[in-house]
Amino acid sequence: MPDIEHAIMAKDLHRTYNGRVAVDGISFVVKAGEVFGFLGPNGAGKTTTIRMLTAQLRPTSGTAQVAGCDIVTQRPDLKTRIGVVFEDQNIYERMTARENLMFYAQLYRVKPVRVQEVLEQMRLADRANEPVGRFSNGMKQRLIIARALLHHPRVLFLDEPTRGLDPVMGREIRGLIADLARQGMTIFLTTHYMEEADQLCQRVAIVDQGQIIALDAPARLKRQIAPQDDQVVVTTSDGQSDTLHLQQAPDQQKLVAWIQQGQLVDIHSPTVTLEDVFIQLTGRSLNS
Amino acid sequence: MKPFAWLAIARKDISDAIRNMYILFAVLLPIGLSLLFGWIIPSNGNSPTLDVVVYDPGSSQFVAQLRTQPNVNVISAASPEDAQQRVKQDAIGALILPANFDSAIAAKQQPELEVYFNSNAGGGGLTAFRQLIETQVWGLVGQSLPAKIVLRDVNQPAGDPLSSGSISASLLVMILIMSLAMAGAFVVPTLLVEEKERRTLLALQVSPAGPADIIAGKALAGMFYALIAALIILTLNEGWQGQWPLTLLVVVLGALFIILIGLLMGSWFSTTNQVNTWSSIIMLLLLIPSWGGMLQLPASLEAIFQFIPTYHLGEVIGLAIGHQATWDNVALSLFVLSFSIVVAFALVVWRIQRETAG
Repeated sequence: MPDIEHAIMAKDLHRTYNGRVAVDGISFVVKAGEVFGFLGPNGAGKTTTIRMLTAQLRPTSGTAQVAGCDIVTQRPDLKTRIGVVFEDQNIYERMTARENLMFYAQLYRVKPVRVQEVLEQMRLADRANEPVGRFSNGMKQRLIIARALLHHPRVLFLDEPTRGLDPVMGREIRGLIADLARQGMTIFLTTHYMEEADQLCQRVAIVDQGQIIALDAPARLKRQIAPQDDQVVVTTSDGQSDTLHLQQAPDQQKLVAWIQQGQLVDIHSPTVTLEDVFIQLTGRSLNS
Repeated sequence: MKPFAWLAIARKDISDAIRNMYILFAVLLPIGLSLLFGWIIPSNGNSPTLDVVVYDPGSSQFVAQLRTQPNVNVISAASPEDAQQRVKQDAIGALILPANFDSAIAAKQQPELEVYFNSNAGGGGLTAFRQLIETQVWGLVGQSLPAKIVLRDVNQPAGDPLSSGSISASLLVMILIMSLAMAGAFVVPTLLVEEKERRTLLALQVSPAGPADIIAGKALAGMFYALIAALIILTLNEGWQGQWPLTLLVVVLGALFIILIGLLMGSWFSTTNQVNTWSSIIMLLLLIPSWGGMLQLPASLEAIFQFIPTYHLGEVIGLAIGHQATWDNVALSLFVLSFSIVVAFALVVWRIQRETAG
């Protein structure tokens, strides 16, 4: 019985490669219309999970439904209901943007008029007849997103969509994702850019060594490791930065002295990032 | 299996592949060689007068018609030995007809027409003689093969007729099979491996096209290039002669076999460098056996080559172009080709199933 409220339901997914465990009992639910982040360092099992959910790889055990289709037994139907943006810019570079999309329109049996629609939606219409090899990385990424949207998918998988893009292009792609989210698209986003996940996702799962080690809204995850309420971070005029506990007498005196001497430049509550959450949970940084 | 996906992939590959210089070169090379071959070998219209010796004890209509051909000087010989001797001296070739040639043809008994030529003569004259045998003689005697032609080189020991065809027919067979090999064993694996290298295969795998559809699409694109090249080569080189429907059938079977080999290569390899390296080796393994008759290899080597399907491909095409194919002399080759296609297809299916199990 397909679940229309849940776009993705994964239950105890496992995947091993030659005895090495890549995904180790992952379970989660993504609600329809939600932007769900799947975060973790390289090798954590993000790509293996996305490959299982997009019918590229069979799980060793466990089950999952995506857009109402079982990922093992209903692969053909599943493929028509999902769109996938890969971490590699995998497009036919000798072909034009329009030719690329027309090819996929034929595969998905989508009317040619839809090609023009997505070209315009991704602001590529004026360059549609140029070979893709001449495009900037940002334009190529927009074309890949256009390809993924061509057949009106119910769930959009985005695998590291801003990796390798310069900050301006990255911001542009994040803007596009935010637009799609506002239109009610269910988005499954894998990234190792924590700020990106924080900005775009309603909930995130943090994955490490093939397991989900935390799953919640970014704000709630950050609150779990939030510093004590009396903590402040101060910066003095000589460039020194320090964390002070306002309920401890020595720190109180230090702060008063700096104020009186006019040395206090900045004072604010400590900010916690999702990366801090990851470090707190695993004891190491995302890039290690 | 989704035929609309095969067609979409094939259409995409056909238009995209020719923008790849390597693939374009691979498709055009055999056509270019066939043009060069046509240019080097003079056309009949420019041929010098050919001294053709005939031993025709029955004064056949066939020789009478041959005498009417322009640029042909028919010289009568006193005996078959005399005809051979004249060919060794200065004549370009000789025809030995049995006394009952006309009556045997009338009775549809396929009398033997022996053709002697001097392989050491060289030059355009010999080629022109062979073209005369290939084309004009067939035209003189009608559409169906009325006589069994046996070609003999006067420099070869007696009783050692050439297997089939002539130099021009052999060159045509060589270039034809080369065009199939280029499309099948180079273009097809390149199309598949390019998808892997650029990771566009991932996008195809999440589309409605399954692995079998992707393979079928690539095979169709390969078949398109193989057949287009083969048809152009046949047209440029007067290949639509002899038993051309059989030629066409065997070209299609040969293309199918080599394309299946190409698909196996493509499923196995992961980089275009690997394809470039291995396709040269595999093409040689496929081509040399098919050129065996032309290269006059030792009998022992030829015996080994008979286990390679393209040997049979060359044999049947040569016989069909030379209008010498009979069920008896092509049945085994057709069986070997068909069986090889079934085996190669099974291997490709096995590879697809392994991919799908992922």
